[in-house]
Amino acid sequence: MNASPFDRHGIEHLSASSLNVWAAQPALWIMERLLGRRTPAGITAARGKAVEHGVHLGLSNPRLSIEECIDGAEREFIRQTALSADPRREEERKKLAGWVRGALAELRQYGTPDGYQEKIEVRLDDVAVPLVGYIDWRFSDHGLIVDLKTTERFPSQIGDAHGRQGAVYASAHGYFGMRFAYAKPAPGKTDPRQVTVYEMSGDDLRRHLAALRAIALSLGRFLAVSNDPRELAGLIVPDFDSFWWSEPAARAAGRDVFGF
Amino acid sequence: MGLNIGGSGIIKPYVKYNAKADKWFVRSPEGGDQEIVRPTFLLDLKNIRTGWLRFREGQAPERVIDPSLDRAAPSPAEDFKRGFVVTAFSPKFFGGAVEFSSASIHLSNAVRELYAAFEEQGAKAENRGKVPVVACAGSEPMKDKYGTNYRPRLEIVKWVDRPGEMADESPVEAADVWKGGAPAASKPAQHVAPPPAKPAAETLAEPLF
Repeated sequence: MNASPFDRHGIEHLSASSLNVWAAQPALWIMERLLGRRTPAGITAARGKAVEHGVHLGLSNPRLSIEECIDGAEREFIRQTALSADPRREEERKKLAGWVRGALAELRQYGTPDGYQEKIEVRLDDVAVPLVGYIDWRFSDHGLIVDLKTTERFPSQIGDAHGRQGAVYASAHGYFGMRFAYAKPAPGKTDPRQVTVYEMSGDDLRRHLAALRAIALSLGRFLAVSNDPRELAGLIVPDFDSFWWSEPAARAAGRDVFGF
Repeated sequence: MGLNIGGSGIIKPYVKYNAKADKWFVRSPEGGDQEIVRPTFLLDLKNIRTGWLRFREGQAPERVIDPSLDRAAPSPAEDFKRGFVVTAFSPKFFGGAVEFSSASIHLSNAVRELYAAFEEQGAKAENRGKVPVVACAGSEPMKDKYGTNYRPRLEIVKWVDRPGEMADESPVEAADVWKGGAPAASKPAQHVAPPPAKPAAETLAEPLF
């Protein structure tokens, strides 16, 4: 029996974020996922994880004070960034309290979640490997999955990258609604809101699942070109001006892999 | 200048597959259906369109076509089903270029698999710009709650240059394509309020026992 292109490259599963990288910056995907040159998560990702941790402390224990949740978020941030030399580290740390406070004010109204960081898996037609992911929170009482995003500015709608992620989470949960809570560190001068929540429609889900399938099929076709990751890397050119390459470690690894 | 109202009376030539009877039909010159043997034909999968279709006895088919293959139109009504519209071409079996459309789940599944093969084989250098020749090589009975229906076995048997009689264009009219509402990406989303709290379970003043 013929192995799928994913099998031949040792890829047992995909994820929405992995496919988002492939769609946006194929060179980065090749470097990290095929050649194993992963770069440490950046300061923005660390702050997201830290805020999520603090908010989860407050959601899972409604009696925990906001200050205890903020402490938890700061400890997590320090742990995540222990080896980071990013000059924005202290500036981001100072804003954690605002994100946690704002997100908890909104999300505690949803009650106590009955699922957190649970692994989900979905299959897409004709794609040989599953898509896996981890939900933020499930509120089964309300039939909702909620994902928290930390931001400096509210987006005007759920973007494609988040939408694809949400489509995977929601499709793994039958008819659950999928909401994204976008949290800012402080209210704006003209807009007093610190959090805005958007819900995906059924049309959004179908559109994003169709896009994920198309992207996964494109990746499969690309991987079928060669079993040699180096040869595949030679077919793609990175765009180092893109924010995907904003981490200095990623750009250094990219220069090493792509030769310029 | 004629008025753009009323019916034109022109019926496009078609080929159709009856999944209940496992039979293929084309429009006969006198009107009505004329059965044909299992055909081999060119199928313009490059321009295939998907959407919501409704076929009702004695009425013209209704369709709301997706804006693109990766963006489905919203369902117009409960009795519309997902389906496809594509141009097929065979001077021998169909008398030229015809429309092939269906909302049969079994035929749609067969066409979906055929499309995957088309994408895979179409990526090869030797097939670029060419059109697949599809053969109906048989059928499989499919049992479901509606009884036995048939799924045709459609196979790409070779690739040929596009003939002049088969235009490289959409098989549907622009008027059939869903245009309602702007794409989600251009509409600002609205904040959704938290769900109302569930009432807490009533606590008993005294234990029952």
